[in-house]
Amino acid sequence: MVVLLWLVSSCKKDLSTISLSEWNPEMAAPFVRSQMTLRNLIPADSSLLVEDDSLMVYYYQKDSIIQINSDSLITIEDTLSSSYDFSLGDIKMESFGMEAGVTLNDLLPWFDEAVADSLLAHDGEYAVFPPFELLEPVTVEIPPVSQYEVLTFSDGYFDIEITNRLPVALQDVRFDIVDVVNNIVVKSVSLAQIDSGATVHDTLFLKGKTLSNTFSVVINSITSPGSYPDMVLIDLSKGLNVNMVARELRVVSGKAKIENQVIYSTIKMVDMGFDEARIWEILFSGGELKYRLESFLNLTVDILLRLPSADVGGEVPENSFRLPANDFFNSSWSLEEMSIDLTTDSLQPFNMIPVYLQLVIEPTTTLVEFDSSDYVKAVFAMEAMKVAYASGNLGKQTFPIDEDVVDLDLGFLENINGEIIFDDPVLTVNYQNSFGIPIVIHTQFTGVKLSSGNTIDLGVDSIVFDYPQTAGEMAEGSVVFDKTNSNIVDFLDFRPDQLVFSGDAFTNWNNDTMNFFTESSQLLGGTEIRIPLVFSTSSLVFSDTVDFSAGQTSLPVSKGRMLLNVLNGLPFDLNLQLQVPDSVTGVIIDKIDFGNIGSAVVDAQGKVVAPVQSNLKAVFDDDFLNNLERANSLLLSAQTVSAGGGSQPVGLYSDYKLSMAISFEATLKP
Amino acid sequence: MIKKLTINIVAGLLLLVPSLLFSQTGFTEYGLKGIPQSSNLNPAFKPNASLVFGLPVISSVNAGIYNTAFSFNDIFVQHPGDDSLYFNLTRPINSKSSSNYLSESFSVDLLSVGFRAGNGFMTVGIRNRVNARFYYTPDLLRFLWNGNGGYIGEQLFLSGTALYEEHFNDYYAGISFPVGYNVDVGIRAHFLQGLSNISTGRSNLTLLTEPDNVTGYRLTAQTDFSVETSGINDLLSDSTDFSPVDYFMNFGNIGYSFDVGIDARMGEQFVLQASVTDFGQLFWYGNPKNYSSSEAEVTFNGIDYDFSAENESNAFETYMDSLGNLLEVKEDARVYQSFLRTSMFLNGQYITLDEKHVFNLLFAGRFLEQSFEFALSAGYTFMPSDKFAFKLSYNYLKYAPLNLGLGFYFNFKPFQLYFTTDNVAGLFYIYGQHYADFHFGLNILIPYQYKNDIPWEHAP
Repeated sequence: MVVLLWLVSSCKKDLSTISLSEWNPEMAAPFVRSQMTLRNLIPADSSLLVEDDSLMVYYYQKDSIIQINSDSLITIEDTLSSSYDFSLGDIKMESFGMEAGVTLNDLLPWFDEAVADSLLAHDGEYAVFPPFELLEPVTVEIPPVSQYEVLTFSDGYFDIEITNRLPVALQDVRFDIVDVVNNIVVKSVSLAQIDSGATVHDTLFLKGKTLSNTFSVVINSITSPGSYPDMVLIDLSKGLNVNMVARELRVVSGKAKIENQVIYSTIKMVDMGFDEARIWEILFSGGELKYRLESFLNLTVDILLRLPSADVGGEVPENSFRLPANDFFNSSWSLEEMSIDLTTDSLQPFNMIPVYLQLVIEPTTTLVEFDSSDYVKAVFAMEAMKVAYASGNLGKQTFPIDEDVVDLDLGFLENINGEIIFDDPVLTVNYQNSFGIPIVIHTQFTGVKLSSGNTIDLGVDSIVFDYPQTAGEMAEGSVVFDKTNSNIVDFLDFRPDQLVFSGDAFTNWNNDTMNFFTESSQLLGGTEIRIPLVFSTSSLVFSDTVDFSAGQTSLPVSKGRMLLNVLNGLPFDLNLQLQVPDSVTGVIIDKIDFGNIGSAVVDAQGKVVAPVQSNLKAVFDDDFLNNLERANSLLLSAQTVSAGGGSQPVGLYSDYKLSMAISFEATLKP
Repeated sequence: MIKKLTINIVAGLLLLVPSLLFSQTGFTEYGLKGIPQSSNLNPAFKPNASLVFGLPVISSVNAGIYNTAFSFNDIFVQHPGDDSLYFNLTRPINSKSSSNYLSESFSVDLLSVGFRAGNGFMTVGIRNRVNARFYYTPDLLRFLWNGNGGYIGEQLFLSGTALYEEHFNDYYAGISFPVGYNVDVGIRAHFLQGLSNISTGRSNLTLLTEPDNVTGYRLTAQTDFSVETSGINDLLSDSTDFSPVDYFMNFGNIGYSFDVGIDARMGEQFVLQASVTDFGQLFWYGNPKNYSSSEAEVTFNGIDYDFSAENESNAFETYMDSLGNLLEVKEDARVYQSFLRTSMFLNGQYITLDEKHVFNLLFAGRFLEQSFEFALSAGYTFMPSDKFAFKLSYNYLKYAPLNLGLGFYFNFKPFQLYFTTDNVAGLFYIYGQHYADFHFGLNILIPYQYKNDIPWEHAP
């Protein structure tokens, strides 16, 4: 044990002072092979597409930046109502007649006694008819007319026919027709002579007269010279007949039995009131035409309602119904699938719905009071109208287009700084127009940068839309704005965050033609922005952040070199720099410049034809490695110049790639 | 996996650091028959004792180290005026040796008993032994020190890099018996309980670094190797699971070996002794783990890595994993066998007539995996009595030619203390030595004759 202790003490070395500082092996090894395509340099973006020829295109689409519906072009009132009063006016009366006859027998009391005796003695015999003279007026009562009680006439004739049935001529025949009730002489007839067997006529014009239904004939004078020397048959049953006929009667008031007659057969117009639009034909897809007829008559009226210019399934809508006296009737027509010609009014051959009404008075069996001012009130109301189709001419109208904002997700440019001049960007407005109406929209396309509020105008004035020539068709089209007709190149270089669209639409801007539209007609417009990545640049910087694990900094390396063998298939000169930002402040605390990587060879169209090899070296030292410990990410920055010193536009194709192999020479410090 | 294997093997070796202080004994001790443990070198040796009892551990602690290419001071350099030691492989790299190895061994007697049996002497016992050898090529040192950066376009030959280790309990029984007149023959049989083993099968390794127009550099390596292990899996995977009890009580690996020897007195003053020891093998059945790779040529041009994609690992981690996967190390669990490093000794002695002085010349050799290691030793023993002997020796090894050995034993009833070393300088100045060893112990020894009057025929 003593020996062992002695041995241990003799072997003692302070192994804690061992230093490895002279041990600096140098390692050389390949590190990483990597390939970057342009899809790696340009961040993934749903708006970035690759076309069939591999060209990368930024493509953005938004539908419905323009939307005009049919209810924008034409305003239809919720309820459209019209009312009409149909007065009774003068109505027709049936003709009626009266007959009054007076015989010799009737007159004998008013003859001279001797004459009377003579006539009595020779009744039925041929004798000389003695001359006679009526000594006093004789009144012949006529039974009342049963058709009426009283009437005020607006038209008509009262024919009077007097017939001498005596065998002798009558002279100085004077009689009155008297309205017994009103005690007025309706007509005085004076005849110088009526020969035997002769008939004499007279007529009374009834207009303006009010007559009761009871008349009498008052014979004021009749004389006769007798038949001397002729022998005539003396028949005391013969005498004088007065026949009266009222004909072609039209009355304005009264109380009478009314005969069946049409009091109205007329067309009323309902104005749809489309403001400046002139609609000629309309097809409804919904709604209701309500009507109410209210009678202020003592008569029952048969009513026929018809929409003569309307059509529902090939049939003209009509309705007939009875309107009792002093009553009302409600009904309606569905407007669904009803087409109406609105041009039937010659004074206003548009927007007018003709409504035909026929009012027919039913005949009465009793006497009914009436007056020409009695009326039927008709109210028409069109409600909840939905227009399936309309044609006409809307006129020159202006409609504001609601402002729309399109967010421009130009994310692929986020990591790219510097000027970039796109060669062929295009903004297309695709539209579908089912309005048969010439429409132009005076547009305002504005790019807005949200951070600064700055704006830029795209330089697009107006968009003219094609329109279909036949209902049911749709006109589709595209309006393209490129660098030849807009400011799109500068617009994109401005890198706006939003595209604000607004404008005003004008109808019939070029001429007045027939317009048509349906319920579902729309003018829909969407926009596409297509930016082929074909551009030129002299100062474009790609940058990307590479996550950097802190563990990497634990490498026992003091210095070394990184060797980059690059096969550049991109059409850019690239100046690569690796920057080390402080993980706290973000300040760049160190960097490595790899130098310039030459551009691939491009043809005249800016397409790569051959890649170019570059071999670069970058030295790093202990300070750089120490600075790495303060970073948790690295910035890889590539300053690019497109081929031709930035003057030639080059296209970015997704299959372009940059291949690089990194190897290192490092001095270790274990 | 390779990285972890390497680290753990190095750690294992480092655990044996104390053994660096000790040497592989034998040269000075050979022929000192008064030390019972000398029969480990020749089973024909009989101590002058009727009973020997070796106390556990303290009866025999034996260890040694031999590094052909460099000493500690060769690789840990001190600058004048500076207390620090600087690791530097320049000196060993500049050595001309084509093949180098570091060999170390260690053994303790857990139990040993020896006793007279008629004219013979029997020995039984249990020893715990561990041997290790690490072969390394000059190019390996160059690569380790300089890296590959200084050898662009030049192939580094790493073939022959190998590691061997065997740790086992040795249960032995031997007998030395007279054959004829003045000739003792000894034979000892060993039952071996294998505890752990590392055996390198194939080791065809080269590395070429070349410039490449596309990738910058290209690494081309030949990686044909195989390593068989047993008993160290827990240490490699997770040392916290290592159970010393399970380790030392593992009888899944068994083996055998034999020692034979002869000790012949030729005339009055000349003795010829010869022996062969550790002729045997171990069968590693218990939880073997074999690692191999048979890539005739592997080329590494870097990894493919997409910096723009979301990767599970960063570039550096991917790079290291890729390097590790390059070897395509296969693992399996085939049982295998290993052979012990057989040693041979041939010793001639001249004894003075008063038998107090002995001169000897020894040739010792050991069959290593890649070479035959030999040594020459010339010694002088002074034995004033049967209680004490002292020996000086000069020991020559190829890469450590100057070694002054020392040995003695002292019997003070009933104990015996002994000590031998083949390189005294290694005790005082280990850091400057290629070779160092140590063997000492305390025995209970009952002399055959408890008197100083020792029969001639039993002279040590």
